Amino acid sequence: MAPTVNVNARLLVSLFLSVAVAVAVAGCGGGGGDSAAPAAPAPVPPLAQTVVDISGTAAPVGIDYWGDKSAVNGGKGETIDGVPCRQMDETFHVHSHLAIVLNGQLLTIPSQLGQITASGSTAGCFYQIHNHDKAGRLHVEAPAPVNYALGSFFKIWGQPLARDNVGGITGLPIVFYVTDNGVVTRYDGDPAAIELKSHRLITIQIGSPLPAIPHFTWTGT
Amino acid sequence: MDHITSSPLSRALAAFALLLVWALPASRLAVLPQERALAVAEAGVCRAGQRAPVLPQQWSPALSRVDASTRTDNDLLRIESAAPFQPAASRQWAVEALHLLLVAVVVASLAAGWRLAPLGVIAAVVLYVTVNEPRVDAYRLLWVAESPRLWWQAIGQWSLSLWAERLVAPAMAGLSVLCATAMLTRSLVDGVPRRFPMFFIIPRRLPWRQP
Repeated sequence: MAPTVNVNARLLVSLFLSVAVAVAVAGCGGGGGDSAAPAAPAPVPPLAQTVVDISGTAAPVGIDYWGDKSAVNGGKGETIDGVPCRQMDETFHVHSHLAIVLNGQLLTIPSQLGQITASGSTAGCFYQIHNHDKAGRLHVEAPAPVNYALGSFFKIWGQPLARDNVGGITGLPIVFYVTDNGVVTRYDGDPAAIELKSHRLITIQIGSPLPAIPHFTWTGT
Repeated sequence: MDHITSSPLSRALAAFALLLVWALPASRLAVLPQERALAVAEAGVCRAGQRAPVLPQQWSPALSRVDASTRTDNDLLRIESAAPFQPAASRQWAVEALHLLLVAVVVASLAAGWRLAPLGVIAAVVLYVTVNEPRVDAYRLLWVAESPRLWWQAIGQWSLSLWAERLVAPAMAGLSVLCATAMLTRSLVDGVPRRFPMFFIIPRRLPWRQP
């Protein structure tokens, strides 16, 4: 009986090894046979569970990148991209949020972009797209409903916006995400055309992929 | 008053670093209480949502220095609205001035070579950290950007005050404390009475090697 037991044991061991090798090969992708196939796009990150409330005048979000001189080439009061600079009229008043994340770190959007201060005899004005604090919330305020886009905000700011250049940051992979009503979608079109809609979260991922989309909320529109 | 045995170079370095730490708060002292009260009043008006009238008449430090004869009704109205904020602004200015006076005393004590001056340096740095909520964005950004080119591009867009606050002050605070600690250590080693067994403090000579 002893030789039979040895044969059975050998059979079992070789069967086990074969299965193990087969599983390992399958797990590793089966070699380079399909290496020419296009890489699947990275999965869309989920919306973060932690919600940050930025109602009112909120505390700064992120770390400073652009500082306080980044708008020197921005709007000076002239109409930009069809967005006029006038006295405030809040008949139509909605907010979007812009988050720019560099290698996993939120960057602060400078405050008071689109606000032109008075100088001498020149009166000050507000662009119909502007912000107040450093929390990233963009205000769209106009006498009548308007459809403005992210590109206009960047022009008013005086910083470039393209698929390979966000505020002068280049040389890193850039992915755009848009979140409406809690649903995150990857945006593969022209980033300048992203509409500034009420409660829309626009997330720009630069560099390393995000584990979760930063989740901001505020009261009102 | 006892004098420390640290070198003039280390004292000068500590004083220089401390002055750089406090450079930005010192520059803010130039904004006088009445100007601060005006700024607070106008910020309050902004928060109240009446933003339109504010911007054409943006607050400027020069306003309170305007000759009374050339003030407009609007200017007078704004100065009146700032009056309730004047006492708090005056207190704030006085406290900041007191802080800077303390820093000046510490620097003077360093120059004079007083033994307790290094402790004063550490106290002044602690005071700065407590009052000013230090930001180390410049250093965090270096870590985050992973690229000296991007880092320099970002820093290049910063104003002088941001450089002072987020790049210079944290480094100089560290340098001040380092110098002060070195001075204290040397003072401790040199100042201990000879009858006290030195190896309890810092074993310059190992006991078993002594003849």
